[in-house]
Amino acid sequence: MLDAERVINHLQDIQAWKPLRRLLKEKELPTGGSWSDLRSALAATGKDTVDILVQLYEQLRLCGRKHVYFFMMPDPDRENMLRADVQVEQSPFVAVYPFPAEGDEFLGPRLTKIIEDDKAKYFVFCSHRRLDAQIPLEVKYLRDDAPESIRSSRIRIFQRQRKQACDIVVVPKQAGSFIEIRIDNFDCSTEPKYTEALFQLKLAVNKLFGDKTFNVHATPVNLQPVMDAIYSDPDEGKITELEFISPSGSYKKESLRMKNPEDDLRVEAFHLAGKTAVKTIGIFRLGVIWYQDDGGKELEAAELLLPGTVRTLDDHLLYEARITHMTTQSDYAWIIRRMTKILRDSTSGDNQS
Amino acid sequence: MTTNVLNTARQDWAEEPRTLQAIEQVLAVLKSLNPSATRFITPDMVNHVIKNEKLDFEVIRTVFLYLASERMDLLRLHFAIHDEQHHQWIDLPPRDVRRALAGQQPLINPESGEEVSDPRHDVVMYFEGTDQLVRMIVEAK
Repeated sequence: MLDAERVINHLQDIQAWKPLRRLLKEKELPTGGSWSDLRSALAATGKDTVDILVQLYEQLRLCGRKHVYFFMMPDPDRENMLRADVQVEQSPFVAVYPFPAEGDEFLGPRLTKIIEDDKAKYFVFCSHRRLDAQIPLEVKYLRDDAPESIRSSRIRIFQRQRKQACDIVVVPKQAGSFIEIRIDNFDCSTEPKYTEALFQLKLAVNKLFGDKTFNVHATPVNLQPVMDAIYSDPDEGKITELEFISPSGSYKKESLRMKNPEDDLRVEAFHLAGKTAVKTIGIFRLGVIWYQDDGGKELEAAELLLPGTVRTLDDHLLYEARITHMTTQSDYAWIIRRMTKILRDSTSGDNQS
Repeated sequence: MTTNVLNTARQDWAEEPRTLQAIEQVLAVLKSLNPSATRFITPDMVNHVIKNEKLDFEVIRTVFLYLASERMDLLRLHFAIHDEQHHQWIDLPPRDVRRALAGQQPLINPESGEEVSDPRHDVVMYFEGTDQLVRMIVEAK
């Protein structure tokens, strides 16, 4: 039986305090000023509140802090994926979804849940990843005859932790739309790494849907034009992060995160003066945040990172984007819609001035 | 000097007006650069500041290679590995890169002495302005 405290513990594992507090307020739930206040405030609440917290947890697992990849697939093949009679696989993930499964197993991607709305079908795959966390080694774990030089040393070990990932394949219903893959983005390096996780997920999809779905029918979408289009449009969000090479040969990494909605690296004095002096720069990594959607609705942490490398300057290819914070389903969907619109505009020439 | 350069291009590309137009657009941007900031130029950097319609990436790359030819001598082509940790560029002899890409010989990192595991992925192409380009920029100011 789930109680509010257990769900709050799970929420604390994945969500920062401030945005969670805002989400809880939106649901008209009491929060207090800290995690312990929240536990006390919700301790005696009923099933309805627990249900809201569970929904919130599921939403946060499905959206935000994801590596995002788009694939173009011919409409008949996309339709086949929508119509395919695939079933959730038996695994320890299913019974406790959306929460992490207990036990010591280490499992690859298993189809755990299928969600459908009027816009798309969401195939949710759960799997395990390993994270290396650095922790200090306590002296009590050393043998008594360990030399004093070792006993008096500060020893840190890499502890391998198992985390449950929640990766999603989104198959849209609208013709001509991109297939979207979301890979969980944990804070530190993991095994499998993101690209390996994507590879494993594609294998799992191919196995489920047959006909080597992703190997044969899906073409990765190049997101590099999105980076150019965002930087050159002063009305497209606020730029928080840039990495670039200047024509004088210097490498620059700039970041502007003072949490002021007016801040924008495009017009920040240092950046602007440098850019004016050298006329142009070669951007390969860009972060942008939107504080409002096109309708003026406030967005929370709607931040997108396009994580290219200097290689992107040469081959003009970037297949990955990152949604860098946990966010609500509607904010996440807005980022994806915005990115898709910029991509379509910039590749069709509509966005060129 | 700009007139001479343009005349040569018009002569070479008379039958391909779209490429010629692209060359003229790229030259207009190159002329406007800061003469002390021509050490690292990529097609993308120029495309950012081209007025009107941006050029197709393959077209602008072709223009860059043409401007780096002996005949034009405005740009110098470099192949390099970027050391992400130290943000250091390690230039590679173009002949070695061409042979490596053709599968004729392994490509060796001249700093570490180790073989470059994936030349197609790890080697980055960029251009540097020649003295002639710098003179052209100074004359245009």
